[in-house]
Amino acid sequence: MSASAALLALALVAPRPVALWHSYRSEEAQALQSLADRFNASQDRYRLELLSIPFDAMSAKISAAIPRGHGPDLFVFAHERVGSWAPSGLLAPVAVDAARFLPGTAEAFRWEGRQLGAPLAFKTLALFFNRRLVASAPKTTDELLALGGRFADPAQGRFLLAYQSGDFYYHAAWLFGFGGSLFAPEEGGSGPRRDEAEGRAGSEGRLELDTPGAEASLAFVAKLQAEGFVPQEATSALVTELFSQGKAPFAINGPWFVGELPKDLDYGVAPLPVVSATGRPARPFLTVEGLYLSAHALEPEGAREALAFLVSDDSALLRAKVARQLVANRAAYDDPSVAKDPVLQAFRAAAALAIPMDASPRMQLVWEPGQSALRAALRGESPKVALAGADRQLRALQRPPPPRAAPWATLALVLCLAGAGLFFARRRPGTAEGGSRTAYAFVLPAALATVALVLLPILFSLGLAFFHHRADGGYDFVGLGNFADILASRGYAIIEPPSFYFTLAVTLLWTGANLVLHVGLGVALALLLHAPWLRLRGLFRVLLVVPWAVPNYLTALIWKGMFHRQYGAINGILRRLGFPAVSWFSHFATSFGADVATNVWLGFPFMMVVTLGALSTIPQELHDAATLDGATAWQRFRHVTWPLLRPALLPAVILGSVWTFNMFNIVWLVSGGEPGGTTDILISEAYRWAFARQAQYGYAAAYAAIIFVLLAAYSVGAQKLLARRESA
Amino acid sequence: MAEVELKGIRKELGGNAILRGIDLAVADGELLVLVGPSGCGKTTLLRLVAGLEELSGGEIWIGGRRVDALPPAERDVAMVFQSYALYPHMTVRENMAFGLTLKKLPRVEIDRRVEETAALLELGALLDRRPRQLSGGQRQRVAMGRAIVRRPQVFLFDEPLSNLDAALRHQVRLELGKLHRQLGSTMIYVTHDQVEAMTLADRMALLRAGELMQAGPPLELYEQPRNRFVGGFLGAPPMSFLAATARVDGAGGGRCRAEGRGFSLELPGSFELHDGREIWLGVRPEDLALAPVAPEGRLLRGSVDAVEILGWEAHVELRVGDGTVTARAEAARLGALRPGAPLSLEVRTEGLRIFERSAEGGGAEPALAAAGKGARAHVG
Repeated sequence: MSASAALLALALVAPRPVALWHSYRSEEAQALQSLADRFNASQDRYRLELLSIPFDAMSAKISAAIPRGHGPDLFVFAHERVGSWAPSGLLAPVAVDAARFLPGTAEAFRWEGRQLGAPLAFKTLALFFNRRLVASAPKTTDELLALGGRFADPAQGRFLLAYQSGDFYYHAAWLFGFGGSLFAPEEGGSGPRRDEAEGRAGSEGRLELDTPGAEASLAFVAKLQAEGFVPQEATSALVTELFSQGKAPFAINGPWFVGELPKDLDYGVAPLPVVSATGRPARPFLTVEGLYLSAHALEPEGAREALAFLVSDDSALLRAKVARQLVANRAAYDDPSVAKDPVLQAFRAAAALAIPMDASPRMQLVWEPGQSALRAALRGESPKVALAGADRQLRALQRPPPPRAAPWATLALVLCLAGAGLFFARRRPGTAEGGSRTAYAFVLPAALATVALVLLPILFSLGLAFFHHRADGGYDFVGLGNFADILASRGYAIIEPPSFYFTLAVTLLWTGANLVLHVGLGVALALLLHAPWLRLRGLFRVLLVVPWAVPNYLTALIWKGMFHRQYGAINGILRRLGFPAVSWFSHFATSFGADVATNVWLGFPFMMVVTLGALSTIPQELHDAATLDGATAWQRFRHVTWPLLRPALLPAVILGSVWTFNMFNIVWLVSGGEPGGTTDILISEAYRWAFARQAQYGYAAAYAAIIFVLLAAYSVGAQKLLARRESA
Repeated sequence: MAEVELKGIRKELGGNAILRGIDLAVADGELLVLVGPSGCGKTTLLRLVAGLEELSGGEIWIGGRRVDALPPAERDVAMVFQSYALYPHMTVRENMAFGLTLKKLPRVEIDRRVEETAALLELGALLDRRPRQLSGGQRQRVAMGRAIVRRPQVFLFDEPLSNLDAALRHQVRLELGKLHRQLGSTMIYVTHDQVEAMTLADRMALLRAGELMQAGPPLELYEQPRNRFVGGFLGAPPMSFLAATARVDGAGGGRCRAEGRGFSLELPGSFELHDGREIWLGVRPEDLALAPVAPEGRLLRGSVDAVEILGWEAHVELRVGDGTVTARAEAARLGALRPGAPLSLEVRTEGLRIFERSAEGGGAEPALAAAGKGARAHVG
C-alpha cells in the first residue's frame, strides 16, 4: 500500500518527458542542448529530451511516426513542409507573437489561417565579397558586371562571381529580381501576382514559369556564363574553392558558407545587388526553420512551454552567439555582440528582401522543370523555348490523377489472373509432391526470410501501383489507372523524355550499348590476360578488377568530375591534344556516352572475370589442334574460343543486362538525366515520380511493376533459351 | 609421304634444357616410336616437329624441305592428341572437316574425303554426333580420322592410347598397326608404354632427360642395349643389375668371371675385360630359371624377397648379396614359396649384358661388349 502510494507521489513529482527531434550538428546542437538544460533547470514539471535525427531521414520519420503515436512532441524542420503536414493533421497550432520576429518568418508557418509553427532561424542567400580584392559589394548588377573585365579569366580559372548557376534555388533570386514569378493568377482572378504583392510565393494561382521576367533572368545568366564571368557546372565545393583561393572576388551563398571558408579569409557579406534592368533587388528564397508541435504530442502543455522558451528572445540570443545562427527574433539583432557581427546583420538585411519559399506541396513540382529550363538556357538554348518546355513539363507533372475506381473490377481481374496462374502451376508435374516434412522443415527458415524480405515488399509495391498518393498523404484506389496513364503516355508526347516509351527506348539502348561494350572489353582483356607471353599477369589481373571493387557511386562521382566542362580531366586531355572542350551533359549523345563510359568502366571486370574462368576450362590442346588444322589466331577465336566461351558467358550476360537495365546509381549521379531528362532510364524515372515529383508513389510503383514484368519476361525467355542450348 | 630429319634439335625453357641435341631420321613410310620415361622430352620433340613449340637450336626437315621456320599449318603434318582435342561444339563431321574447310576446299571434295575416312575408321554412323556422345574408343578414332582426312605428309601421335582402358588399348593398337600398313605414311608416335613401342615401331628412339639414348629397330634395342638405361628400360619385368667385379683367370684368353657379393658367375665369350674391372651385370628375367642344381658359375643363390603371381606366370624377386634380380617362372612350379625362403636360380650366362660401373655413370653407363648375335633367338 504505502509503496504504491510512494510511487504515485514520485510520478506526480518527477518531471515528465517532452521529446524534441532535431537535425542540428556541432555548434547549433550545442546551443540547443544548453537551452534544454536551462529549461530543465528553470522548472521541475517537464524534462526536455533532445534526439538528433539525420537531416535526410527527418521528413520521412516525421510523416511516418507522428500518426502512429511514436513521434516527438516537438520537432525542428524548415517551413516548406507545412503545406504537406497540415492537411494530414500532423501539426497542432501554437501561439506566436509575429511582431517579435523578422517580417515573414512567423508568417511562413501560417497555413489556412492557423499558426502551425514558431520560427527559430532563417536561411537565405547573400553576396559574399573578398575584401582583399574589392573594397565593397556592388549595389547593382551593372556595377558587378563592370568588374568582370578585371577579374574574370576562365582560361586561368578566374571568375567574377562563383555560385551554383545551374541550381534553380540560386537562380530564383535573379528570376524574382527580373520580375519573374512561379505562380500566375487564376483565370478571372484579379490583382497583382501574389508573390510580388505580398513578398511571398503564395499557394494560390497556378504554376507557371514562362514569363517575360523569367526569360530575361535566363538570358542574364546565360550571358554571365558566356562572358566567362561565372564558372560552368559549378558545384558547392567548386564555389568554396574559387572564393577561398581568391579566384573569384564574389560568391552567392547562404549562411552555411561561413563555416566552409578559411578562418583567415577577409570577406564581407551584403544583400544581393539590384537588377539594373528592372531596378528591383535580386530576391532569393527565404527558408525559415522552426519548431513544430505534434498534433499527437503526449505532453502538449509541456511542449508548448518548452516551445515558448526556445523561441524566446533570450534563447534566440544564445543561439545567435553560440552557433552564429540567423535567428528570427528581431530583438537578438539589437544585442551589442550581434549588432557588430557584420555577417549576421548582412543576412538580416538580405532576409528583408527574400521571398519565403512556398510551403504548398505543389512547390515540389517547380524544381525539375525550373532546373531543366535553367540548364537548357545555360547550354545556349533560347530562354523562350526553354521556358515553354518547362511549362509543358509542369503541365505534364500536374496532370490530374487517374479517376478513383471501384476496387471490385480490378480485384476480380487480379483474382482471375492469380487463379489462372495457380491452375497452370498445379498442372505442371510437381517434383516435390509428397516430399518429406523434414525437407520442408529445413527449407522453412529460408522460405520465411524470403517471404518477409522479398515477397512481401514486392506484393506491397505491386499493391501500391493501384493507388494514387494524394498531396495530403492519403491514398485513392485508382485501379489500373496508373498503368493506363503510363502506357498511354498521358500528359506528354510519346517522343518526349518523360514518356514511358521514350524512356524505354533509351533504357534498351543503354542496356544494349553497355552489354556489347562490357562483353567486348571483358573478353578482349581476358584474352590478353590469358596470353602466355604476358608478364606481371597477377598484377594486371588485380588492377583490372579494381573498378569492380570500388563502390559504384564513388566511381560515378569520380567520372562525373572527370566529365566536368571546365575542370574535368577528360576535357583537359582534349584541350592538351588541341581539341575544343566538350560540354558533356549538354547533348544527348555525349551525356549518354558519359553514362555508358562510366558504366563500362564499372562493368567490364565482371565479364572479364567470367571469361577468364571460362578460358581456363578450354584445353590448350584444342588451340593446338586448331593451329595444326591451319586456323589463324582470329579463326581460332572465332571457331574454337568463342563458341566455347558462349555457354559460360550467356548467364553472365543475362545477369548483367538485368543489372544494367536498373543501373540507377550511374545514370542518377553522372548525367542525372541531363539534358532535359533525355538520358533518364526507367528506374530513374520511377525514382523521380516517387521522390522528386510530389510523392506520386502509386505512379512510381506502377513504373516499378512494369519494369518487373519486363525483366521477368526477359529472364524467363533467356532461361528457356539457355535450357534449349544446353539440351542441344 | 616424306621422310623427316631432325638435326641437332635443342630446346630450352626458362633456362632448363629440355632437349640437348637430338639427331634422328625417320624414313619415308616408317613408323618411328619415341619412347622414354616421363619428362624425357619426347612430347616436346613431337610438338617441335608439329611447330607448336619453337626450336632453341637445330633444324627440322620434312620431305626435303626445311620447315622449322614455317608455321604449323604449312608443315603439312597432322597430330593426334593424347586428349584427342576434339572440338566439343562440333559434330564428328565438322570436326573432321574443320581443317579442310579452313583450306577452302570445295564442299564436294570435303564431303567425299570425310565419308571416305569415316568408312575407313567405321565412323559412318557417328558423323552427326557430338564428341560427348561418343565412347572413348570412338573419340580416339575420330581424332585419327581428323588427322587422316587431311592427308598430311607426316602423322604425329602423342600418346594416343593412354586414355583408353587396357582391353581397348590392345585392340586399338592392333588397328593402328593395320592402319599404318594401309596408309603407308610416315608416322612419329610418342608413348611411354614399351609394349606399344615394341609392337608398333618400325624403329624406336629411346630418350632420357633430353638426350637420345639409342635408336633402331625394337629388337636391336632390346638385345643390344647401348647402355644400362636402355637395358633397364625395355622388357617387363626389366633387366636386373648386379654390381660385380671382373676376374680374369690366368693370362690372355682365359675365362672371365664376374664376382659379386654372394655370387660368382662365368662370363661367356671373350669380353675385353681386365682383372678387377668394376662392372654391372645385366640379367634379363627370361635368362633365369628355377634350378635346384646347376653347375657352379651359372648359379645364383639368395633369399626370396617377393613373389608376384600373374596367373600362368609369376615373378620372383631374389635378393642376392646386396642386389636383387627378378626371375620369371611358371607359377605352378613355385609351390608355396614364401618371402625369406632360400632359392637357387640357374643363369643362362649367354644372355648376360655387361656395363661399365663408375660413380659418374648416372644410370646410363655404356655397355662394354655385346654378346654374339643370334644367341637369343628364343626371344621375340
